[in-house]
Amino acid sequence: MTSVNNKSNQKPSPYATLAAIFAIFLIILGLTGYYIVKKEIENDIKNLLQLNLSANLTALKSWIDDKKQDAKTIASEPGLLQVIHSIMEIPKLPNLSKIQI
Amino acid sequence: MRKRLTAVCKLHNFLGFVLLNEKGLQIAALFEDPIGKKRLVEQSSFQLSLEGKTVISHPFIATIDLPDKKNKWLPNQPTMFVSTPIKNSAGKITGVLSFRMRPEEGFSKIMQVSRFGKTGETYAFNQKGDMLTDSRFNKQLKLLKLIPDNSNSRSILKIKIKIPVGFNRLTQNAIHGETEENIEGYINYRNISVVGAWTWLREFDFGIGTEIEYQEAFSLLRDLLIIFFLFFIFLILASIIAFNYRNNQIKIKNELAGINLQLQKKFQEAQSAKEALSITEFKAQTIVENLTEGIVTIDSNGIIKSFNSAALKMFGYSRKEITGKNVNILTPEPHKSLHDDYIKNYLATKIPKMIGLGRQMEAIKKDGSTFPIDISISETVLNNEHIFTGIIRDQTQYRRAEEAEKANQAKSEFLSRMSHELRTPLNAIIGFSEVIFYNAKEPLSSSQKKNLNHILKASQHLLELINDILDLSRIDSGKIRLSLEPINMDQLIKDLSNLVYPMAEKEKVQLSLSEINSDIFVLGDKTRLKQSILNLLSNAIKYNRPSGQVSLKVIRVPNNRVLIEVSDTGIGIPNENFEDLFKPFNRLGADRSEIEGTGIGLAITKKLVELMNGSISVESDLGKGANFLLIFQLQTILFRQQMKLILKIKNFWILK
Repeated sequence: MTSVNNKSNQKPSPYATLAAIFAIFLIILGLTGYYIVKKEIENDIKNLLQLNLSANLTALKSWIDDKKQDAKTIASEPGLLQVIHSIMEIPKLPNLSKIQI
Repeated sequence: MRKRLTAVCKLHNFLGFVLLNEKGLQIAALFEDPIGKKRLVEQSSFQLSLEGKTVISHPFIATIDLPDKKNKWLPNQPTMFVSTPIKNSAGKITGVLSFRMRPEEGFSKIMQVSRFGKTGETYAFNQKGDMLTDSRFNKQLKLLKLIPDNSNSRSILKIKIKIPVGFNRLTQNAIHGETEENIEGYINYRNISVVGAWTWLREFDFGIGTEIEYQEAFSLLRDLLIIFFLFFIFLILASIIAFNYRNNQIKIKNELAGINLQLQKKFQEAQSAKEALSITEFKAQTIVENLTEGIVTIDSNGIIKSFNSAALKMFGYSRKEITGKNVNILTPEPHKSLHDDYIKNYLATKIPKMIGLGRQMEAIKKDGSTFPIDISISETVLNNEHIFTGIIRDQTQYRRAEEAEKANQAKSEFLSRMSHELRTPLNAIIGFSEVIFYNAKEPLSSSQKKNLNHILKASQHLLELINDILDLSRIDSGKIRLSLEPINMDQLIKDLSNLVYPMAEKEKVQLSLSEINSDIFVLGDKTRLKQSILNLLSNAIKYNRPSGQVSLKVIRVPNNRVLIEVSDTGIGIPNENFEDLFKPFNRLGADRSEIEGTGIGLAITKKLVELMNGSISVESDLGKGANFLLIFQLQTILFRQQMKLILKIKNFWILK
């Protein structure tokens, strides 16, 4: 009984108190750090997604413009235009079959 | 036209071309199927081209079979067009020239240019949510049966994308050039949690989105979390280990303190034991050193290990001289030569010759003289080493005393025999002299009587002398027997007075016997006590001056003692003669006087008094007289009553 009473009456060791405070500090620090890092990563991801979207958009526009330009270039060739115009005149003829066209 | 455009199409990576007139009739194409039809004009992009714009259409499912890359003709293939208006010389739009493209090639691939990570992808979608580009995860989609599982199966226009923001909101935001994103995570068309961003392109009327799997996007965070968690676990473990280590240290420290305490206690006990041992050793050594017996220890080779002070004194050596020497130097021949063999034989046979037995023998001193000793030897085994201890008593004095005793006894016996032998004829001389002296029938003449009276006196003196010698020899030889009993001193002195008054009158000495308390008793032999006091009184009367005085006092003195004092007014005794006064045959010069005496009366008196547990002393004032003092223990009433009772019982039994 004496030993039990002695144990219960013992003050906690200063090392144990320090360790507990340090552990709580570490948990708070960890959670805060986690929150900050998470926010940073979220921002980074957001930026990355925006950047990626923007890059894709630029590439897409460029590609579309290229294709458009290709189409315009081809369509503006005089020889081809002449052929096209001549072809365009054919449907005006009556009862022209598919094969004829 | 086909000839001209086939090469151009190949050059610009177009699959084919279609020429539409202003009414939307397809009037020329690379392939035969579209010609004569109006289907393409249903696509809004053709309408825009007819309005004069060069536009690119959304991907859509072709209504004709189209060749794949391997030139295999397949139905329901996605396709898309880039259309440009055809103007005549007047600048009027007369038709539209459209170039067919494979969406999975240019359009989809351009979306793959900047995808990131392992799971990142970018796709285009229309307002209905149909995916307009090829998915990066066609294989997975096939496994999920979201698209047909065949080699030509593609996700273009077959997958409905899922975005957390509504398409309407997306298009609304697009007015302001805004994009939407979700980084909290959502489930996409593959049923995977992803994060993504989307924007709507008003000029193209479709949106593009980019996604990456949540797990990959936040892998750094997850890794950090794992690292932090592991670090925290490590810290906890380290703390537990440190705590346990500290507890163990404390435990070890406490145990060490306990052990230290025990060691200190043991050390103190050992110290105390050592001190006690030292004290004991010191005591033992002191005892050994102060013994009158000599103590000698030797080893199994006969080498002397220790020699106490008494032995040193006995043999005349110093400790330094004798220690380490063979013990045989202390014994004369023949023991000297045989001593080593004694020990060897004993160790071999264990049959003792001297060890454990007392023995008397001769020993030799440093100066070579011999002397008798009594020696007893004991054996001790210490650490397998045989140690022999000899206790030696010098018998010189004892022998001398023994010899003196023997001589004394012989003398006493001689005197006793001689006295006895002398007394027999002397009694005859006295007896017959008295017969002659008192014979009335034959009376002697006066001169004869005078001479015979001399013979009688001399004979009686001789008889008295012989009786005294006999008494003395009996006392010396211890043959005298005393009968101790309580003696009433008053009665004893009264008895004595009858004897001493005539002597005093004869010597003309005034005798004074004091009144004696009748309660004074002493323990002694009545006859011998009377003899002793009578002897003192007789001497006091004889050696007194004419008309001198003699007194006898019996008084109680402190400590329950009785003093018997005999005083005279004689010439006194010099102090230097006190020692010789009680020696037999020493009359201190009185033998030259006319006073008769044997010279052994005081010697007998002293011995008798001492035998009765009393003491005798003398004090004298030279020229004025001497006082002889006898002191006895007073007998109490209780003692006397006990004695009476014992005597009554004794008498009762004797009478019985």
